[in-house]
Amino acid sequence: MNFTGANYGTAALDRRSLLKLSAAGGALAMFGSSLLARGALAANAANGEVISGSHWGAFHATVKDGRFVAIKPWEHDPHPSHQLPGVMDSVYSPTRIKFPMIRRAWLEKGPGSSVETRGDGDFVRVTWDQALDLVTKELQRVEQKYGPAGTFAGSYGWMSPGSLHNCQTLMRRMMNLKGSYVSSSGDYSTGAAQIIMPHVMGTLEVYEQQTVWPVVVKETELLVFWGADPLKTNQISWSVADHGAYPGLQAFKETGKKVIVIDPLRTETVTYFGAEWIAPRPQTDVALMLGIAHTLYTEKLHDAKFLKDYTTGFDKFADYLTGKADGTPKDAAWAERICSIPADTIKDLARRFAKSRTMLAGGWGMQRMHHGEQAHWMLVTLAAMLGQIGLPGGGFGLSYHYASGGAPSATAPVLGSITDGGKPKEGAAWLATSGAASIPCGRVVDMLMNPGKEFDFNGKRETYPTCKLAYWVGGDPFAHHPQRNRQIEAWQTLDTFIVQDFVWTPTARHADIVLPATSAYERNDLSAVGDYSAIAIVAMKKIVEPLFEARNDYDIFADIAKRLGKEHEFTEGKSEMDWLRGFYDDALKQAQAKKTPMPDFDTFWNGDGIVEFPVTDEAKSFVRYAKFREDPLLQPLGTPSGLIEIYSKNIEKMGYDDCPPHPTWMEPAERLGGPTTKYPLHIVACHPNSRLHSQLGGTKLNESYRIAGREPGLINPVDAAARNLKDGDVARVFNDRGQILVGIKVTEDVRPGVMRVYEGGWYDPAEPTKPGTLDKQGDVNVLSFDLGTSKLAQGNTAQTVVADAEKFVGTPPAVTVFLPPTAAV
Amino acid sequence: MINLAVEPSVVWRWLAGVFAGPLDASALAASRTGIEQIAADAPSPGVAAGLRRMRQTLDALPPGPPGVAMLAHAYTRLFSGAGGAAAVPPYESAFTTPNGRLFGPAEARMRALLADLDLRVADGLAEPADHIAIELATMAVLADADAPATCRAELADGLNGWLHAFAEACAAHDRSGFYAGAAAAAAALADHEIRTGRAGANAMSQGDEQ
Repeated sequence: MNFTGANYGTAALDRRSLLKLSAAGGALAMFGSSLLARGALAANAANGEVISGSHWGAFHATVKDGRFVAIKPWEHDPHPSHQLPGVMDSVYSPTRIKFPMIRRAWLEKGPGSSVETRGDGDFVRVTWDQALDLVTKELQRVEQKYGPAGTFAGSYGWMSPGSLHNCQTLMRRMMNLKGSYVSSSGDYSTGAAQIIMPHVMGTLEVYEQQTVWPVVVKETELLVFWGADPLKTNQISWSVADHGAYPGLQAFKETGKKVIVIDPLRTETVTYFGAEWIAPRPQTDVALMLGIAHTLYTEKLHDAKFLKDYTTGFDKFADYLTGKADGTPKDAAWAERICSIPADTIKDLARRFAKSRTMLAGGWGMQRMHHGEQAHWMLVTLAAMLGQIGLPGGGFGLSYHYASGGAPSATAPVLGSITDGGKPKEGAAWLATSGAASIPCGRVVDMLMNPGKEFDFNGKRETYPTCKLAYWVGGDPFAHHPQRNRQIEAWQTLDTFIVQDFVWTPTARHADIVLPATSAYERNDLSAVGDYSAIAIVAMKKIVEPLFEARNDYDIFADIAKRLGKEHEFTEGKSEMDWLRGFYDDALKQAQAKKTPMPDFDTFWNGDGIVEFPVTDEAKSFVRYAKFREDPLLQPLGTPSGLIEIYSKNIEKMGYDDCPPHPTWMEPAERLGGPTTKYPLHIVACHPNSRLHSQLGGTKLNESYRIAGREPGLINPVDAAARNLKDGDVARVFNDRGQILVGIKVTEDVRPGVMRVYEGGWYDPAEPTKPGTLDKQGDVNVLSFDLGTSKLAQGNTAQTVVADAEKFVGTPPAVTVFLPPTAAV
Repeated sequence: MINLAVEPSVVWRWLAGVFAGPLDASALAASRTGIEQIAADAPSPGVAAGLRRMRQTLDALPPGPPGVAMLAHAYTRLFSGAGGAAAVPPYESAFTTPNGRLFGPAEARMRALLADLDLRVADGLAEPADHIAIELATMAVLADADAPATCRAELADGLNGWLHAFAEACAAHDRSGFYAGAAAAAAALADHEIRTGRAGANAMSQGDEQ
């Protein structure tokens, strides 16, 4: 259309229309006149390709007329994730938070008002100034009334990669200027493992480099993935994903050497390798390991010399293993009764492990259970009995399935990042603690429900603070936290819940104050590529201007700091690009000192936007614990004994009834076939294939996997037949903690007694304010158990969940908002 | 009474306002009056049905601020994104772009149309140009300016391409019924515009004369 010369501006409109409308006596004359303004916008000249990165990998974005129109993976990504289109979808998702919003009851009646109505979508749009004025006043009110521990800023979640726009660090940077807050420690991924491993191996173990893939490919004869699905979970990384594990997986497959997968599910990894699939009952891994260990010990297949030279406490453990201590030998027959794997198979596994150079690659689901500390402890003990720890291709690894652990590490500088102004961090950045108090992150609901109550944690007795305000950024606790209905109840103890995000997650919908942040693709940042490999540094360049009224987290917190009179302390007078240049220049100095080629910042940022680092032959031959094995005296572990602690005197001193001083099978609160378990199905709530937990759940990627518009529930034919369930049915899955709907797929890929429902599904209550309401879309954490793993780690137990399923009777409530007309797809 | 033959823009503009944001007390009162006026001369049964639904909701609302709040809640739950799976994105792109992405070709088309008209989305609105309110407001501008029938038909065609699906989604998720009715009325009005173009208005004029 071309109206050159015609004036359709609102001025002419107003004059003429006003007369007409007045003449018509239009009561409606007031409407709609302020929606359009005279004067066309300048055409958006932003066109071209922009490089950026995400948890799913580095990529090139195509921009046309200022819009993100296409995405393609970085050309050096060896195995791009199929989820990358979801990244573009997320920017333009209809779930975007557009404006600052405040829950009506909170706005009209004050903090703590009508908390039972949270989640019902009754919000009022406000301006940024109004919103931030209220946020600042409320932060100050809570600090004055309840003290520095009145505000919870633990804010756990996966946020986005990036050195500057680390929203959780930025929030704590602001909080440290406000006064203080309650922080959280640990994470939901490895809550138990990261506490037990320092006791056993003297180091965090998880998030540390593995024996690298080239060595595994060459030397490992028997590769065992135990509760690990590397084909699926290596799609994502905490920083920008490098996918460096996939060449290793491919190379191992090409050797034709044996792979065993021990998992209740026939996973993508099983299929990829044509692996031998052994399917124990979920959460019985420790029993299976003990059965194997018993066979090793009684058939004298264990490496006694290794145990003597490199471990401590095996003798006490052996008394337990053989039954000398408690009268129950943990033999293969005993293990079979618990895990359901035939005793002969268990014995055969022991013999095969001992006969071969065996790598036990353990996943993390096995420790997300009641008594989860025992799983990795026992895995390490098993590996110690095999005596191959520190040998090329042998021993154990706890990160082959995560963020491409085992991809050889580059000779790369460390890229700095924004700090929270508190104590310096070491190790994995998100595991640091600061603030007036700290709780294990998985105990946040316990904290809200038991203020002032004492709890045990890793040898200390602490007290839960009284928090009345929670500020959440970059996370979705109404997705990742177990036992949703209990969580909703606990959250009602808060006066105020502030959420800052870019999409309307279930968490945002339960907030009192909702602040729209930009996505990672509407701002500039920097990131390393590869959690373990650090193979490159990538410019995460702004792809499009912020949408709606979204603002960068950095700017939002700077604005709050300004209202607190601390703007300069927050910003240090630096702009976004000043910060990035500073981080890059610090890395450049390191690279120059090591004579590693690296361009200056302007060349980097205005050029390719990515700089790769070399990998030495030494790095390609890294063997974990080789140095320890070579000389345990001069290269001791960080344990009190300097050795692998199969028996821990430190843990013995703690005297915890739920965490003995050596690996022990302890019945979890509930499990498939458990002696006191009420429900007949174990729900395996593993990581999804087409989301990162709940991230990208609001994009149309979900249409690639949903069944009947819901999270899929995979069920064995035997269990399906018993319940008259068939493909495509909607089933109600329920236990005493709640009820959800899933879409059924009947498959032999899950063992009998198990239903698989991926975690991260978006909570969608049928009646948002009704306790125990049906979740329509399949948020498996409605069913899971919110228990600490034990007094040692207080990790989360999200995999300890049993339930039953039945065909849904009646018309299932609608979940799909809309589908584009068929013609438009 | 509002004579749609003469004042089609009034209805387009009113519906634009209905979808632009929650109605305050005066807008609600004006809507009550306006619906009566329009309904008496609804151009099609579809429009009449939509208006009826809206009126039923308004009649059932409690008086005063509670009624305003109730309707505002319905608006926010449907159109802000806060309603979760019950949310209905009020953008043409959501219904016409593969994967339902916002800021799709429809938004680009509307931006270009507004530029041709020497218009833009009002500063501070912070919505894309294919928001239903903007599209309906643009129809009002074209109606007021006596734009050629082809121009109005093109925009009406665009509206027709998605408003029915939008109305269906509102019908499925609008607990109040008001916005379901408004969406149905808007979809029916777009239909009417396509079927009759300017001739439709002329025919009504002739009908009046007869």
